[in-house]
Amino acid sequence: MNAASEPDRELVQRLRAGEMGALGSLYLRHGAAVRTFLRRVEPTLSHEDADDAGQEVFLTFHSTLARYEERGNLRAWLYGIGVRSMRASRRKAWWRGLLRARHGEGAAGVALRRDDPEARLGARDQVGALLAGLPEAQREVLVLTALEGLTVQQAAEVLQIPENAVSTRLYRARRALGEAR
Amino acid sequence: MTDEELRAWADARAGRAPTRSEADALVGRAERRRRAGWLWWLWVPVIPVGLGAAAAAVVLGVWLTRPAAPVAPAVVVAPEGVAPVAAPRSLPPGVHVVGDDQVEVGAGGEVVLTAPGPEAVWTLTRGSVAVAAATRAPGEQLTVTSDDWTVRVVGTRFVVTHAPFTVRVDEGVVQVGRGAERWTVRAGDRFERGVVVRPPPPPALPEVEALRQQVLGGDRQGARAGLHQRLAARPGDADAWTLLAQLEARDGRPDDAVAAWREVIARGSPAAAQRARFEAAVLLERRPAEVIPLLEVFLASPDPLAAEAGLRLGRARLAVGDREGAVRALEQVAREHPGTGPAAEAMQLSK
Repeated sequence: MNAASEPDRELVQRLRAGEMGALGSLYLRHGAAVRTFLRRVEPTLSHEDADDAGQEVFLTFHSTLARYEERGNLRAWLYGIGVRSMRASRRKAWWRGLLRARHGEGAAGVALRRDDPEARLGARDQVGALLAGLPEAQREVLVLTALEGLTVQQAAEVLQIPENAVSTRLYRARRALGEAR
Repeated sequence: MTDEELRAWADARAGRAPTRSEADALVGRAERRRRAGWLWWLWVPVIPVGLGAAAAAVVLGVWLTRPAAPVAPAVVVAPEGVAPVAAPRSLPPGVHVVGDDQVEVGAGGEVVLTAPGPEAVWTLTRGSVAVAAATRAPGEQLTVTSDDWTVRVVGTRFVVTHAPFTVRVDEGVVQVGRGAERWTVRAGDRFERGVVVRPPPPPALPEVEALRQQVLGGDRQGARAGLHQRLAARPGDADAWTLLAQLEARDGRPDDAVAAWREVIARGSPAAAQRARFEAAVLLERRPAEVIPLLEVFLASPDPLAAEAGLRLGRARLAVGDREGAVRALEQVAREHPGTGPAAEAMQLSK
């Protein structure tokens, strides 16, 4: 069986046994998904920043491998590391400054013109600005469930919060986005 | 903002797939961090470390030079009601256990145990015989003869047919011989007409995870084709139906997405079906008559999305003119989920 078709569980077991090539295989398999997730949960993240942050997620996964429990979805576990990594980044003053510089203080609440294709293309950035304007907790839940396809239960595990909190945040996020029509 | 706009934005935010060189660089960084993690050993006093290392070397040496444990032979368990028989004797059609071996003589077949003991010889006089042979110790072997053909094994599962002479090997390796000629037949192979035939492997089905990657990589048509191929072979694969539903919803094909969610409802686990009902109901917002039965079943089980589902059910009932049913659903949301957004909206709607 080659690495491309080897189940995650077996790659993780090989990694636990010290076979570092397995980390590379996991990165090739899940790296794009993690980078995509990071770029969605942090709408200001460039491709280059996402590449670096994605590597950090996998390095953190490796250094905390003892804590990983092979009962669930590896990708969800990586998303959890990514969420905490993004939160830590946001706590830094330079990061807050970058956000303000890119989007200004009043990024939320942009009205979109749905009937004009050109406006639709331009609207993508506005959607990003709108999402960036959501509270971090709501944006994380929205990205995990609506865009990454996780269930409420999985999202709750990733964020380490109760399922009811996930559904409440999801409702609020949807409502906030709905009001921007 | 519409779901379509949100999905278009999400697609535009797809991350790049890592290259092999990036993966190699990651492995290098992880190696360096791991090595750096061991530097704290430098602070440990040298003498205890030396003593510990010497003790560890002694333990390792003892362990490496320990005598090898004998390899236990595989055990073939006899089916219930089948008594072991003593060789040599003639075996009629049916299942028999000879020593640790299991023998199934086909209808109309006959096997004579011509030589017992560690170098057992069984002679197939007619029909076919299927053998699950236990692992042999060095020097022991089992031989099946049929006319001038012989099959020698050292622990395997295989089927021999008398006329025309064929051997099909299910596990392990057997050697087929006639006179001085020898053929090695491995698991999955078939020996017939004097040659070893390996049947072509069935075409590999794309894995759902690989198809998900394909979607993330932007190749949606390829992923869709792969999903249809997989579902044609495995229509019960709820994970594949789920991915197809998400793909169709993303591509603005709600009817196809709903059809896929309905397959998840029919074939998936209870949790997957529950999620599918909610997703289908969201997509069917403009067809309230179809939303109602989905959400009624959804709300029969506790779920973190119950408040929102109840609100949607209330709206759907209002849309089809069932004001009484709508008020009932909305009041239930307000009563069971007080203080939530759906409850506030439900209270407004029920007035």
